[in-house]
Amino acid sequence: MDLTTLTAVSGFLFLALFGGLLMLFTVLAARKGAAPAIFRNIEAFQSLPNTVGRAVETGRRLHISLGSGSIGGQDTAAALAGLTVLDQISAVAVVSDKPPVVTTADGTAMLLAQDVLRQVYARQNALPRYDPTSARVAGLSADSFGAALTSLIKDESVGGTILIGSVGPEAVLFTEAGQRAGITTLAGSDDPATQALLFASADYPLVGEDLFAGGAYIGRHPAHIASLRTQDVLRMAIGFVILAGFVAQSLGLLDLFFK
Amino acid sequence: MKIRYLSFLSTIIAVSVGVIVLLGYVVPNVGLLQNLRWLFVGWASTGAAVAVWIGVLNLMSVHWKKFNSQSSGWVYSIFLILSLLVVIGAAIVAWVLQWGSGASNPANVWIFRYVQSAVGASLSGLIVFFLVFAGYRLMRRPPSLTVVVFLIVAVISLIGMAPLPLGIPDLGLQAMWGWIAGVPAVAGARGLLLGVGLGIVATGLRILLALDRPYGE
Repeated sequence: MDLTTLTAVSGFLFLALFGGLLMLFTVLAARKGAAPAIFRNIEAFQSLPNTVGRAVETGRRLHISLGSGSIGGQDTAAALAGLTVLDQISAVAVVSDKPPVVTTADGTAMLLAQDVLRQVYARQNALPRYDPTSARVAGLSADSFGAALTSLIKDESVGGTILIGSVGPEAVLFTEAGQRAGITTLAGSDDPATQALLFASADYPLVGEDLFAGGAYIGRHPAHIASLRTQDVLRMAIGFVILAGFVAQSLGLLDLFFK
Repeated sequence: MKIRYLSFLSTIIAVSVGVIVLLGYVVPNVGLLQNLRWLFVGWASTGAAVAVWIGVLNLMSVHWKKFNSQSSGWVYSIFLILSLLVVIGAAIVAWVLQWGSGASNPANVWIFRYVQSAVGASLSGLIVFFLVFAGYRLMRRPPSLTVVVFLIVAVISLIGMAPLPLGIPDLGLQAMWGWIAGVPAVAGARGLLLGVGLGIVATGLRILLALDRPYGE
């Protein structure tokens, strides 16, 4: 078996295992009488109801940003994580005097955000109040996106801001503007270097895979809970394989096996 | 039971296309799968290009609305609309004068090099100052173990990376920074990337299995 075929087969087997576990845990989480999921504390998601509530009560807008990444590229999953959070938290915000504003740097992500917002308005029987420009492209490049968000907080009277998506160092411009305006900033990115910057500059940073945990924490949807469980199981399995490989390599067993 | 046919159809299309493209990756030797995969990827690229235009129109409409209603920050909106028109106009002029066409025409290249890159570089420079303020604010927060570790590592890294004047001993901080950057930082980054990678696979599989439908209800 050549290396290309080996990579393809192992990739397929990994996805099949992941998909199988995901389906199994989804069925287990959705059945009647299933024990409620218990998660570790993620301060950012615990603070979300307060952030949203404060923005609504003070008559200001909630700002949700999907980052500067694009749908269709390698940033797709991070933007989709942002859309999941948007879907679950904007229900409260749309009934306020000032509806939420959603920003992105990508046309496709903007169209998806508009669709999510429209669905939320429809579910709340408030479709006539839906404004398509509530979901908008703030800037088409990373720099222009970061710069645009600095003025948006003041111009749109934002009372709380959430950034969940793929974003680079320009996120600091945005979190700093939030700090200067005295509003709560919750931010997470899929880039480890940006996560370090957000840890220092945001009120509630999301670290590592916390970015993808919003659906399970906020909506408690069985598929999202199953997703977290599958990730945990596979993370432990991968950790075990890495440790076993380290021990085998140290004892010279790998050389014996492959010879 | 009310069946939403459009939703059902869009789910079938999304899942089928996703499965075919994925199989194209993991089964590289089947010609039909490869042809279909590249056909769908091509369609997606065309769709993304159209979406860029829709994004531009959205940006224009938001700022036109802001300018029209004279709402807060409307002056910047004028600059944005004028800048957009100038860039499009420069591309047209370059084409008419036969300087070149497409995104790499000399007029647009000049604008990008001397205006956009310069503004981008100054914004990146600002980030350094914002981070210093962020570090100061972090010190004023109630101390927690992670905050203390973060600040100590940040100070060691700053001193370790800075060029010291001749004759001043670095007290082993440069070696310590080298160890931090090479061992715990790499291990931590790999751990984060592993978690993010699993999150990405989970998000993709939820869509492939129709457990999540971001393309509409």
